[in-house]
Amino acid sequence: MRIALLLALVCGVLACAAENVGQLLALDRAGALHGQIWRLWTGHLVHYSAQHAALDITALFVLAAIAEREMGARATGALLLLGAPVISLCLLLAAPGMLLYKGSSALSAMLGVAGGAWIWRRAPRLRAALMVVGGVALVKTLCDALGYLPGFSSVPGGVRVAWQAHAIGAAFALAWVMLVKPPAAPHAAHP
Amino acid sequence: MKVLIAMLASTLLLALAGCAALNPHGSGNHTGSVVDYLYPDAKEAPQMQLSTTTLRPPVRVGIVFVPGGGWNIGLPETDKEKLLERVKASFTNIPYIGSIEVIPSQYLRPRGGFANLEQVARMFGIDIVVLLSYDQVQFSDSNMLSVLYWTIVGAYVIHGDQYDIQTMLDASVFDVQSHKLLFRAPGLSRVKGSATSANFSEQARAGRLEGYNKAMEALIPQLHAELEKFKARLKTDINTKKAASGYRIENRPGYSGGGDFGWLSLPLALALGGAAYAARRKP
Repeated sequence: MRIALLLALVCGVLACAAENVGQLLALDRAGALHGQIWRLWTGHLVHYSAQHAALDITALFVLAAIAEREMGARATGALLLLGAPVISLCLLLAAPGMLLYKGSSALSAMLGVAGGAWIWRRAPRLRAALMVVGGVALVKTLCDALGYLPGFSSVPGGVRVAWQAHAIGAAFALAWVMLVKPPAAPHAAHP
Repeated sequence: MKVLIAMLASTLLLALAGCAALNPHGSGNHTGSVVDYLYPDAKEAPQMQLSTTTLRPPVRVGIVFVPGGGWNIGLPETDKEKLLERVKASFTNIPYIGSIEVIPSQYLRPRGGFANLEQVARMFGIDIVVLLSYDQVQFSDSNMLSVLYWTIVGAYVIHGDQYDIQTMLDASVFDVQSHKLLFRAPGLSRVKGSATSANFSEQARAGRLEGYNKAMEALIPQLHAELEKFKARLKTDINTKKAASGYRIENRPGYSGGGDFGWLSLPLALALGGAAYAARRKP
């Protein structure tokens, strides 16, 4: 729960910070390509508006808490530290027209897929429910990619939903789950 | 004896002349002219060019004081930066302005012309530049009380010197690529004050800074008003498709992306949380 709380706290503080702090930390294509490498991590922690931040931070907190409980704090921390720059670099390659990126939903997608995959392995009886959740997320991503449901988003006008970031985050989490061995002994089950 | 009297008289005369020389009378001015900077060797008026100015919002703007001419000691760079930061702060929330860069005056060469301006624009990555030219004149006079300076103590307690400082700031907004003046706005101020002979220069320096501050206070609303007028003019010209307007608005290539799953993220996260809870229970 510590990582989930820390992530939510950092994102919350940055959401309240001055606008120029957000500009300094956002994933700015020109800045990142000119050596401002901190943006590869920090772009996932800043948001465009209070509404955008509120929704993203709530989802991130819940999904990080699930991932931390399923995989352990160390694996979750490692996944975040490695996954954030990989998502950013892949996003710079996959969406060359995107000059600026802000938002933590790619981290949420990554943590959600990692946590879901762990549950998938451990509780086969829940696979149908997990497939429904994954299917809804996949349909939403496809709708974003095709430009449907434009009013369904919380980003301000003029900002496009970066569906590529969600897809990259999910793909990275799947690769991570396949490569990383599950914990030796699962957490004690509730009676 | 006559020689002694003559020596005493000349000593007294020199001392009095020295005292009088302490009183800074007359006038002085600090000037930085946008015309001198942009057209240093112009003997004729620049020729009218019928080019189209393309504006790509959100525009990147640079703001800078033009370099002063000659050896006059103008405003220190730290004070210039503070003044420019005030302009920047008042324009930060305008959506079609992407960024505002405060450029130190040292980056501009005196009489550098558009060639120098283009170099600086490339260096800072700006499309539009706000050139601030200035003209400050200080008149210094003695008043009736200055007669008490003869008592020596009077020079430290009596406000026998007065100053009148008139300042004009002028912001000229140029499109760097087409060299076109988009609009301009002035800011004027007048500061009057008096001081003792001993601390006249310190008081006058503070007065000069106050003059710049007041002129900037007057300039900022004028600049906003001129920007609104320019925007309205641009809109009208483009809507009526006036070919002669010489302006075109183009969207900058590229876009901003947001990592966002919308309201759906909450039920999905809660559903996964429910699955995680159920996984821990015995079947």
